[in-house]
Amino acid sequence: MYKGREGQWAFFLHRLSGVAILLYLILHTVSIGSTMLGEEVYGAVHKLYELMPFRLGLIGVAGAVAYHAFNGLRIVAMDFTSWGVKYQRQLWYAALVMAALFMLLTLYANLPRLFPDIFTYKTIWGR
Amino acid sequence: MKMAIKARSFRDAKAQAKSNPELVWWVFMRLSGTALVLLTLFHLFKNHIATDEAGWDYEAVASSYADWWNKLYLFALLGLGMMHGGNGLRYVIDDATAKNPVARFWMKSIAYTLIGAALVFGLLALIVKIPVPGVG
Ligand code: HEM
Ligand code: HEM
Repeated sequence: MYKGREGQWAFFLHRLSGVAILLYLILHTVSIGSTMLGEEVYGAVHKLYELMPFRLGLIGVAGAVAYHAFNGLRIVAMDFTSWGVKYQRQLWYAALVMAALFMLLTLYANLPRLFPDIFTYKTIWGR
Repeated sequence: MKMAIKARSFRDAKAQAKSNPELVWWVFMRLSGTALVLLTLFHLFKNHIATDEAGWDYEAVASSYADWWNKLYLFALLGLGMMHGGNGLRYVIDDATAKNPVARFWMKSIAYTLIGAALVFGLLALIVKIPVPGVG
């Protein structure tokens, strides 16, 4: 199945991103769900989300989700269509580009929120 | 010996499947994955791009939980995400512990416990009524 150098990378990154998203999903469900334990508990958990390393990490999460999603579609296309097999290499580069674009969009929207002194531009979504 | 199917078409998958459940999981990964594309990317767009993640304080989350359509959406995201991710992790553990059944047993026990606990917690959060400040 996964043939050639690209195929190995595609597989490895898919695995890595899949496990990373699952880990995030578990933490995220507990942190968001903690609203049912009351305002104080949620507030304490949410403090973590205000830490800079965490907020930068979330942009990485967005990139990981986007890569896994677009590469996952490529896998589905390979499994169910003949053009998916034929163009699997090109489709992988397309998936990488789409994931990069999604992550850049996330970065663009969040830089003014993260570093208001440095990035003073306004996005259509505001701050 | 890998348990997960490494096929590149439904016909191959059917031929390789050691059991019926294994084939069902193979199909499930593809169906749930396709649905998760929209569910996750739109969720990220709405909560991380179009709004500031730091703005999600207690009140904002509680008000968002008050909307039943939104709850239905989160329910699908939670359920499909945990099942898809959980089964994906099973493939990873099977590959990583191919020669070590004891490690396989423990890794799966820990993984399923964590995923199951988080799933129950997340479901409860969607069922329990969470008061919105000022609204009740
Ligand atoms: C966003 C849309 C998604 C798509 C299109 C997608 C698609 C796929 C596909 C096609 C596979 C291969 C399954 C197989 O080998 O039989 C897979 C594996 C996996 N997925 Fe996803 N998935 C998505 C979201 C997620 C999410 C949200 C998580 C985590 C909660 C996740 C975690 C995993 C894991 C851990 C694997 C196993 C990786 C491996 O075997 O190397 N995926 N995904
Ligand atoms: C990294 C940026 C993310 C942000 C800022 C974010 C934000 C939020 C917020 C504010 C909520 C609560 C209410 C609502 O959405 O209406 C929520 C719930 C949820 N999110 Fe996210 N999310 C992010 C990523 C993800 C990802 C990648 C996944 C899936 C793999 C995910 C899965 C969920 C689930 C399942 C819930 C419902 C939890 C429950 O009540 O049981 N989120 N998220």
